[in-house]
Amino acid sequence: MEVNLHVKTCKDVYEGEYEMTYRTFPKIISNRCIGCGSCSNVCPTNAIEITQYEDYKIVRIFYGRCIQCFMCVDTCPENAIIPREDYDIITDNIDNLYYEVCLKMVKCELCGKYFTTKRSLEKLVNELKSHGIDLSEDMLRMCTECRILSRKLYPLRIIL
Amino acid sequence: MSFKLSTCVNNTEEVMNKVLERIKEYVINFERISPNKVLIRVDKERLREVCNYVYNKLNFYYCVGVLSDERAYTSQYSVYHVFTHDEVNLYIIISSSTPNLTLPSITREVPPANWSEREAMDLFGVIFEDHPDPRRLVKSDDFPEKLYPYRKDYKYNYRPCGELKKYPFKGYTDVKIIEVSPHHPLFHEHEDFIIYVKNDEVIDIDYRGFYNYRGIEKIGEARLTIDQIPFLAERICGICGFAHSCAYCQAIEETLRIEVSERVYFIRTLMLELERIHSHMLWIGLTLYLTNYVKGFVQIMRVREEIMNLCEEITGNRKMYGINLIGTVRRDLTLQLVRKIQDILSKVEREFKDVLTAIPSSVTNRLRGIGILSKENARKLSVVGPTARGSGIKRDVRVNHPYAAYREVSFNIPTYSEGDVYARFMVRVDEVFESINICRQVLDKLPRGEVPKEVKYEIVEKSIGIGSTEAPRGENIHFVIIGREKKLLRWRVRAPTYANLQAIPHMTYGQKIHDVPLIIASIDPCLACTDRAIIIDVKSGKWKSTSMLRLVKMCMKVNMK
Repeated sequence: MEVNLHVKTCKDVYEGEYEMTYRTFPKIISNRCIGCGSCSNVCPTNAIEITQYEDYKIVRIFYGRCIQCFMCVDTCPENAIIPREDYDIITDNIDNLYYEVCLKMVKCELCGKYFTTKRSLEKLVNELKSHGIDLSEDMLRMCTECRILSRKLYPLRIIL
Repeated sequence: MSFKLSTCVNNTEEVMNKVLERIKEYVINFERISPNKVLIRVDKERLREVCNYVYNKLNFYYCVGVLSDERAYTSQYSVYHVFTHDEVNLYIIISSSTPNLTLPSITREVPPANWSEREAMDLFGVIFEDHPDPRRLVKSDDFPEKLYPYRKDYKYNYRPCGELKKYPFKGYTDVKIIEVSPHHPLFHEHEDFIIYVKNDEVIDIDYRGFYNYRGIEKIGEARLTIDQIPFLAERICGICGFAHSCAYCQAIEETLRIEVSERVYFIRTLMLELERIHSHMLWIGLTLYLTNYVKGFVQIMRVREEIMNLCEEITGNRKMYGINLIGTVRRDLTLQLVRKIQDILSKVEREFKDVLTAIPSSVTNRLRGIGILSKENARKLSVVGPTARGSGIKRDVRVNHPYAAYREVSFNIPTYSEGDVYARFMVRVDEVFESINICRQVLDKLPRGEVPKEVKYEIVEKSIGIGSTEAPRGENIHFVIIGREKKLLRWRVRAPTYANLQAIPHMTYGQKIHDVPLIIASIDPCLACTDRAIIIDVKSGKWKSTSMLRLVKMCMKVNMK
């Protein structure tokens, strides 16, 4: 019987004809994330948590619970979650298993409540501009309750 | 395929009318939950009679018994006995409810119900009256009495502590007991086979397992929502995980009447068959290893590696594909990938044939004539998969209850009538070639179009569904009842080994002790590894500890002589 030996080195696998199809742990690119929370909604093991503190928001992945299903990578609207290049997570400190991204929050102009992340607001402004609607940021700097309230108070003003 | 759909529909109606005619006066409620599934609620006094009639007179097979805590709705516990047939595409669910924790046991009439009832007694505290063997099955030896983890008022993360009690042995006299536990060097979970030996011949085997009982069903019911469970279901088994998540998704799709596109079905079928190929190859390799033909094991694993790499390229993982969602799959096939799969399949087929022809006859002769399971016993115990097909029972979910895209492809079911280990070996060898054939047909007939990214559905409370797939080891059943808040009220999984393990005492009766590892391996047990054995001499009361490795070495040595 003829026996073919198949020996593939790491170099062949990762630099040759092979694309990297293997699923590894995900990581977040901090300057793309807008903190929308769709990854934590879709995560089957609740490995991604989003916690809001006073003026910042933390998106935290716990690799101890991650099953590398890539639901977050597929879902992320901003393509902010990408696979890590390294697969090695062996550690003697459990804190190394957390991957955190800190996002700045924006205050509501009227009531002073922190209501959304700075980057998601910027994205909203840019998107409106691309549709030809040019609104000053002041109008958007209001939380949902205040918007409803101000619409009642000033029905003629255009407020989104 | 020798199976015609039109005759099957007529047969289904006929059999259903026959069942209804006989048990008309006992039926409280009759419901057709899907085209091929019938739910019959009967009075609990009549349960035994009805089950006996369906199992013994109408020749139905027993699948699984499910107990469910429905106190939130009706303040009762309900039992569901699921029966199926190998010629008629019909599942019969016979249900009965009790408010006071006692139900009649059907084990004396329907032997395979034994484990389901013992499990229900452990987990719910429901007493099955007149059960022949009411020992513990699922709960560990140190789990406190009168604490029932699957009741709805038990929190899923509560960890009790209790006293360790010795599991009672069966009351044989003048026998040697060999306890093979709790790890096996070949398989991957925890198990404890208590072998009763007389003059080097096995007279009985007792199985004490579930040491690795993870309470997956409880986590699924208590913590996760319906669309998270496919990922957990995939982790039930390390080898046939996709069959589990597929069965779960089918159960939900059927209850909630979700439409699934054809392309999704074809991709699922492809993955199921690739999984069958690599699972069977692993088993064949392990059997060759057990007969001390290590070269064959290594060569088979080399051929198998191609399939594993292929799976990685299609889904992103060698195992735990994670591509099943309710109503859809997450990865699509490109034209380039389809060509690559076809190339690799023909390469694997060629190399697999080479490895098989190189197996010497001394190895295959070793498998002949041991571990015989007669057709009658196989029928009586409702064994599934290659174990049943090796005993001459033509039983395959892919043909009897076609799911996914199996209606569109044609294939044979290899069946052997000898019933020994060699027959089960040959069934698996033939199935690998059939699977390669199915994969090719799937790729040729792959419908065009796109795979939907997400499927919307509405929850219908209290609806019941059954999903079944033919896993590499046999029929795989997921039983679901939908509950409140997008969660499940009950999720019950019946893995194929659950049915096949109960046949091991029949297979090993009268066999030599050195054949036992091979016979246990021949059902392809998806359970644990055994590393330590305790040999107990009942007469003198002495016991000494040996290793399972020694038993395996004993099994290997026979070939060398």
